[in-house]
Amino acid sequence: MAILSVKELTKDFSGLRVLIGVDFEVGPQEKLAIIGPNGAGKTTLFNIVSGKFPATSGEVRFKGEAMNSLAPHARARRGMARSFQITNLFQRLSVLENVLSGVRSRQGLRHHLLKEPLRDRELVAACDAILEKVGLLHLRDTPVQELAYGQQRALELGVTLALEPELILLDEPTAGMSRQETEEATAMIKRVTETIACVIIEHDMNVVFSLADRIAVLHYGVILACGAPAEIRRDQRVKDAYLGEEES
Amino acid sequence: MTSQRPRSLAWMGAAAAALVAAPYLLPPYQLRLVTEGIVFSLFAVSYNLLLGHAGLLSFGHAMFFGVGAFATAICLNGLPGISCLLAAGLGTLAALLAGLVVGSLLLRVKGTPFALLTLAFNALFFAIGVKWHTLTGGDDGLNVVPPKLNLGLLILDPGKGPDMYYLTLIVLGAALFFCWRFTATAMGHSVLLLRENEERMRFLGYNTNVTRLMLFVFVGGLAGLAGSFYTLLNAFVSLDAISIDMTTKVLLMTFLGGTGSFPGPVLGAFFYTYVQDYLSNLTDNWQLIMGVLFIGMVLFAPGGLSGLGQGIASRLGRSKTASQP
Repeated sequence: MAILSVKELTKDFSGLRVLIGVDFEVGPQEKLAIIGPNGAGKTTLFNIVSGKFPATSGEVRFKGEAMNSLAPHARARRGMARSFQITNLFQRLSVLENVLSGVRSRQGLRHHLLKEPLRDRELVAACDAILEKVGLLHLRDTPVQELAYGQQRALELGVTLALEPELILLDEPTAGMSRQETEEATAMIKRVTETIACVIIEHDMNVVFSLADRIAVLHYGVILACGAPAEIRRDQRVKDAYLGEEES
Repeated sequence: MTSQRPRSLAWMGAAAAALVAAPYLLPPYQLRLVTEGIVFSLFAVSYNLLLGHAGLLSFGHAMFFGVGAFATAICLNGLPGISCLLAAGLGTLAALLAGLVVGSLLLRVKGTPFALLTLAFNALFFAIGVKWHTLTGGDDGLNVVPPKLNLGLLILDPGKGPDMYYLTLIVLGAALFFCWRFTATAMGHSVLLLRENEERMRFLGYNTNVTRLMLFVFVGGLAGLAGSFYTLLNAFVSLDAISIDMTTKVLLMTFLGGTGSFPGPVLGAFFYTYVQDYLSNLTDNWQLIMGVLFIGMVLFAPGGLSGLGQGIASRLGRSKTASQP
């Protein structure tokens, strides 16, 4: 059974139709990349799936449960996490406190009036394990605003992983990175999301073809094609609309 | 690190000894000022939980202080034989409920609309105080006679300076300690997340409406407790306690002390209490001087007194390290 199922999803912004009858499914542990030109509606799609915006029509199901009426926090508690295109962290807090915010939430310690999370060895150890995975353990006490851009992107992933999600929505995880940083980030994403389903928005085709099991091409709000990377490379409509002859 | 711990413990021990010995060391008027400083410390700390920790600029914090102050006076006058601590408890409960009501109406508002709505709520509470003359005494206020508190081995008379001082020190000192620990709890951390990035919080599974509402109830209750003790200390409460002026006062105390650290508002409350007392003895235009002081502080020392203190301490630390061979 699909872990995420999106059916006939449509979104209008004051008459401007951004998504038109979008359909796709993601299986457990599957990696689906969504590609398409700027303005295709990729981030809008993420915003609807994660609950930031309501859909105009259509349905989002996660683990078989309808999500349309649920707020973002309720979706996150059910195991759906997302990262953001522009780094979206708690800038003045330390690296550890950022990851801790996710670990606490996962363990239901959001509003506890007595428990002191920084004194809880198990919680801190769980955070350290995540920081080690994303290569930031040596920076655990550094305020986020002092981190380099690539490190902030890695932390963005770490905070998302702290929820122990079953599905991650990754919005351009390597945007703004150098070639070397992109290669390192791609390898890390591959490693840490091995057992997690992922939907990835990405412009870098090397990253897409390296990570994705399937690729969906979104073009002006419509899914133009969806299939295995080799099929997408060969698809003439995709070549014409997005990849071009050189990429394929 | 290891040498700092015994030093800070020594400072804390000295401060505790000075607080316990204060009634024996200070003349009655000075003792009253210290007691007032403790009351306003709790008020300012509760305000800073909203402003400094959650990043919510409120112009209506006096409504909780005033509700606590008036509810305590009403209980003392309307329920003969009630203990002054129970009256303070009921005053706190009333402010807590006010926090619940006002907080639930402000859940989705931030920034300027939030500030303006809190101002409007404060004006509304003040207007209720003015109009509901039979309950609040209107412009005349309410006189109270706080009854003696029988603690078994000890009987405290709030009418006597030292007794009121110890009562305030114990109850409000415990509340201040609780606030200090609160900042380290899971809820305290969630309040910081609220200031930093409310949207990200939601995508991490936090229902930020719950965080905000719990915070409002908490700070409402604390401000109400401070208001209750304000009534007990003065044996009187007037509409000043619920006025916009009182909100301005707590805002000044918090900014003067510094919003960036826990002791800042405590420092600000004592500083304001003493400077106001000193200046008002010198001139009727003391508010003008206080205003200039506030402007100067915001412009040249935005971290407040605690920020200045930290800056000086770190400079001294640096020069000490540099002078070492």
